[in-house]
Amino acid sequence: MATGLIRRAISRVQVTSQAARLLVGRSHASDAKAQPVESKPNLKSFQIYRWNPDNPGKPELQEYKIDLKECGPMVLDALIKIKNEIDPSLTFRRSCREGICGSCAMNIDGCNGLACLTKISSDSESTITPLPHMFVIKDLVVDMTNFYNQYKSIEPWLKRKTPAPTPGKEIPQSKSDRAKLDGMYECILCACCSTSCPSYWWNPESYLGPAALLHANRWIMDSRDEYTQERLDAINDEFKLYRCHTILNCSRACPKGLNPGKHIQNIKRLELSS
Amino acid sequence: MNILRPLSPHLPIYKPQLTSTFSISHRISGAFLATIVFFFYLLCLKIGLICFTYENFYQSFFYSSKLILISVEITALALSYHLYNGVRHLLTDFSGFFFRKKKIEMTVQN
Repeated sequence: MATGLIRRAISRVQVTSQAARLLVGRSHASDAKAQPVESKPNLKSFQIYRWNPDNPGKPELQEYKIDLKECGPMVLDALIKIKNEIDPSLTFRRSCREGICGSCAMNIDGCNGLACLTKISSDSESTITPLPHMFVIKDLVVDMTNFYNQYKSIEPWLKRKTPAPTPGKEIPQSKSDRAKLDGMYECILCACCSTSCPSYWWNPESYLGPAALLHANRWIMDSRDEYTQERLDAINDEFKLYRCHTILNCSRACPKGLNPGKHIQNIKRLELSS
Repeated sequence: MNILRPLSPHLPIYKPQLTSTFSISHRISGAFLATIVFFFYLLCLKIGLICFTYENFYQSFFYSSKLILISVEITALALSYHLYNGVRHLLTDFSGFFFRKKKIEMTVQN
């Protein structure tokens, strides 16, 4: 009896094994008279910007061919596939693969966006370059130091003169006041907007850029913050704010669907009336 | 080791967007109109304003060379584009002043 139990247990284990599952599957397929699948590879060529600091020369576009049938739908899937299978030296930033971290921001087919959210287009060729007018560290990785410093310069934290109304508890904020922050707090600092702005290209060190100004507006519009006038005065500068000529490339580029141009106009409006 | 990092490509590779095309055309048409007005002013200084009272002046001026006709057409195009885009700018940039004036006073905290 024990051997019978053991035999049944072994057979149960065998059925759940992969080989056994394939056997079962094949039997069904032969019933339906399946045709042999001719997989014609759907090749797409990617022209990717390459520059190596260890062997510096002129930056070039290198071509890689990928079978789209063996690849995920997003550009990041293609980049990872190239790195895994064809060229491990391809360097790019990536983290969450779901469009929330902002690491994989790059220029795909002429438009800035997140590689993990941009679908691979069905054209036969795609060009991938790093974020425009930024210093390239390697391949698609750019130097974001200036961008982060500009964000830091607008002091993106709550500043109060008076202590909280109920000490030790949160500062109350009505739902309508909290709703004013919608469209600004979702910014992931991917730099797609700032690097799409021609004004930021020509004045990267003096103009703050749409991302920093969006966050400046986020703190100006926060009802809990009491340094509104000082914040407005700090950016009321010919270069920091007024290099914005409402080109509105930023709102076109934002991968999260935010509208930095509208918020910069809000700051300009507040400056005029303060 | 001192390596100069390259600057990533910007103008040559960035796809022309509707927004950026409008903006740069506004600037180019504005600059073009400014030069046209400037040269026309210099011309007026040279020939004297009395010429505008003569009918034949206009015949000779506009048909003296084909270049003038074409540049008048292009100037008209630039002027109309610059005008319409200017109106669009006024409406979109200053809409806050016309529609939400009360809220401005509420948001500026002192």
